[in-house]
Amino acid sequence: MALTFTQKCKAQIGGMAFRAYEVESDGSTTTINASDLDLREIEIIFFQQRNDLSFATNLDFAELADAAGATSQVTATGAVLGDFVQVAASVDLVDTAVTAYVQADDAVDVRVQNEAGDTRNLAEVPFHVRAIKRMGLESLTGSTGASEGYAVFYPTLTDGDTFTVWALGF
Amino acid sequence: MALGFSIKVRGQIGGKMFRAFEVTADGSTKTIDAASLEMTEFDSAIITNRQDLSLAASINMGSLDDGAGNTSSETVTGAVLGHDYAMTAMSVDAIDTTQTAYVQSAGKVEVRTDNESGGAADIADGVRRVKIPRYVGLSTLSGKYLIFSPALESGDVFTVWALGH
Repeated sequence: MALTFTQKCKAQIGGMAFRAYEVESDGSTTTINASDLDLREIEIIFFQQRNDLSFATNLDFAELADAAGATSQVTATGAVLGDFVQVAASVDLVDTAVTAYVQADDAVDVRVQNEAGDTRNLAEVPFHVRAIKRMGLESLTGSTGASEGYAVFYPTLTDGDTFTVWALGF
Repeated sequence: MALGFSIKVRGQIGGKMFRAFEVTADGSTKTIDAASLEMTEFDSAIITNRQDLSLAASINMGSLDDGAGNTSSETVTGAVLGHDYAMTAMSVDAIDTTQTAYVQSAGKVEVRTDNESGGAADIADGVRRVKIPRYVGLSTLSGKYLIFSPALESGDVFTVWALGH
């Protein structure tokens, strides 16, 4: 089965059908049909995806000469290559550039680059890393009289994506 | 008209009024009155944004010497200069290079790769992704008003789900 649907709520609101489903993907499809949600047509839909992954790890970068950089790795279970990453530190970055990326599955590299023109030394503090999952709703068809509406995801749903769909329709 | 409202559902839940409206802004207001959603007061509201912009493109930048950089330009229709934030990610290891992304001009995002790692960096071929989150932020929910920050801009499209009376 391409997608697994678990119904959470089925009701009528203001003459429209309301549905809430938990959906799990195996990565083989990008589309949810209205009929998957026990509807003929989707009027409006939104989904709540699984939480982004967040991690906090103490990192201690050595003193960096001008034009030098250093990389430390954070274990980030569940992060995969292609996830977007944000990083924040609870200390003044003293003019350094701090970036982060998924280096390999389950591993995020935090890069500190000093191009400040002088030596810099970051204090040892927690660095917070967030891996943002890529799932997104690209288009919704069905509110203009299509016989069967559907929601299309981009990037493609990947194996293990789990999220909740809330939909109003007919 | 300052805001365009398209009703999706009007109903009752647990003794409360429930409304779902699709809203289109023209940039001249940052407030929604309860009356616009056919209510006298809000108890709760959820804003679901229009969809983020996404792009996937092939990476093939070759080897970068230490101190060298590379800029690739990608078309992201709908990206707005001075308004949108851009993020980038790759399907391969960035091997200590820095990757930054920004809206270079309307509809165009540039991704800058800088190699200051101390040696040559040869990033493998793969897929680069660019994401532009679209924010329509609810700042304050105050009785009869929903107040947005940053201010709504022309072309913002979103859905308001509200409970009230």
